[in-house]
Amino acid sequence: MDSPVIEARKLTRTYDNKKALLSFDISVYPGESVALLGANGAGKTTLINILLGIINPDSPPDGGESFVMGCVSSSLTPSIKSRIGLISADARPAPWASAMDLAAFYSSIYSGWDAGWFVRCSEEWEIDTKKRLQLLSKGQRRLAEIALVTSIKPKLLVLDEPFDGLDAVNRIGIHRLFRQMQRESGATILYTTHVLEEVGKLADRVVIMRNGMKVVDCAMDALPQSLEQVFRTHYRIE
Amino acid sequence: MAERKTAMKAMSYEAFLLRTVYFSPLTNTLYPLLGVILAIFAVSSDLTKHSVLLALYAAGLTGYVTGPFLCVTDSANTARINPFITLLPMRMGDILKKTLLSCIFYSAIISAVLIGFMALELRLPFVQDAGVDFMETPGGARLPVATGLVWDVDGKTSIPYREVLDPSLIFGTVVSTAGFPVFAAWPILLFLFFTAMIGYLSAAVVFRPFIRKERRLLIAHGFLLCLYAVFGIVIAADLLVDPEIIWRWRLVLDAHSFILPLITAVGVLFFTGGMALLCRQSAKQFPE
Repeated sequence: MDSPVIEARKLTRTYDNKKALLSFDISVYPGESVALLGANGAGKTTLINILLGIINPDSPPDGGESFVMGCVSSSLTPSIKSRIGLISADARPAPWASAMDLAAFYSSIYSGWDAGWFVRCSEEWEIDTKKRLQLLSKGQRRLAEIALVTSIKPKLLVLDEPFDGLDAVNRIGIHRLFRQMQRESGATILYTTHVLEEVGKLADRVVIMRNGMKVVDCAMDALPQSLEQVFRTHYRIE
Repeated sequence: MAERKTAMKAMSYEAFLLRTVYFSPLTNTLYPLLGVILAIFAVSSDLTKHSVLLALYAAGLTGYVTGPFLCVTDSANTARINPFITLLPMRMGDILKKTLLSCIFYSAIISAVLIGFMALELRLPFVQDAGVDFMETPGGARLPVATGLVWDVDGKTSIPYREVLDPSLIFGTVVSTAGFPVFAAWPILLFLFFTAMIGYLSAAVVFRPFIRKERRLLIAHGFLLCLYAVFGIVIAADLLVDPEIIWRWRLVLDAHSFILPLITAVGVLFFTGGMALLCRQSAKQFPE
């Protein structure tokens, strides 16, 4: 088996005496698409932030360790960063820049930048690439971010609620796009969502989190019940 | 298809401009910082109190303007560096290096032109703190005097230097007459530089969405340089007609002695405000 693109062992993170993550293990392999599910505060975003080195886990040895493409998360090299695409509400591109400005910027720093892809996405989704991001609607801004991030041809896509603000039509298009990237370039996808129906459309594997812990880690086609039933069981929803 | 070609053309133009001249949009963040460092370089020969305060003022404004982009607060109410920046495949050292090189480049040009001209004009090896003073002769005539520090032959010590400007130096009467205003203009240019920088930074706060665009920054930058050139030419032309008119410009020089405290006061106000804003954000930062 290939070595994992993402590997985390016993990750623990504490906020104000509350464990946002508790001894969390996860491995994501090349070409996999893994969905992280969980209620608000379950630790999904914290996990992503630690994996990408945006925040640190608790001090060693209690905090655990994590690696991306074999490199320790807290010290990712520019070469590895250039192969990671992140979409998150926290990662805000400069709001005064237009998508075109950012495309120019990305093209100068990402070696894998695909201008044709960016133009195709922009045209298909009718993004106003000359308008400043802060003036775009939430959905248009999210589409612009997706167009930009996918144009760098990342090997690892980390998506924190990527469908937030998108209408049904665009959601279908984005599902197809991510699947295409996974199929054609072998991209690995790790994403969080609150919408159960979306998990089946994109994920090969689902990880359900609760109170910072992993309660389910299972391939989609190996789930004993429907995802909704599994989710209800673990969250004790009648 | 045509639209796509236009888009590609625009993109490559942008890419070229941004790659070769400035980072974008990261430079939006660093540009004011460049201004601060440049200001420090520009006044390095005379780091008086107001210069330091002006630099602090610029630093405060930098924090105020760029803080919301550099620092984000997540759902856990924890502030941290914007992940957009954290995940850019660039080393912070490279960014700083480029910024510092730009500063050195600009300050070297300005210093070399102004001080070098004076040094050439006076046929001296090197002059620091170049400026113009005036002396009154027993007969009541006022003569412009070049002042500064001359480096000794061994290059290790500097000697105070004063010489009445004689319109018969190496470039002949006309050129040396035209050269006077350069000495006279040096403090004016410095003053204008500060004023323009403060104007730019203030405008960046007030007209934030409009001014923080790379092309506009380039235009603004070019405009400032042109402004200095125009002032230099105007003063030169004026003095070429009548060197005695240097007194008119002397008034401008004197003016900055009372304008600067005012600017400094405003600067301190902004600096305090900017720092307070940053501190408020930092208070929630990095719980570990």
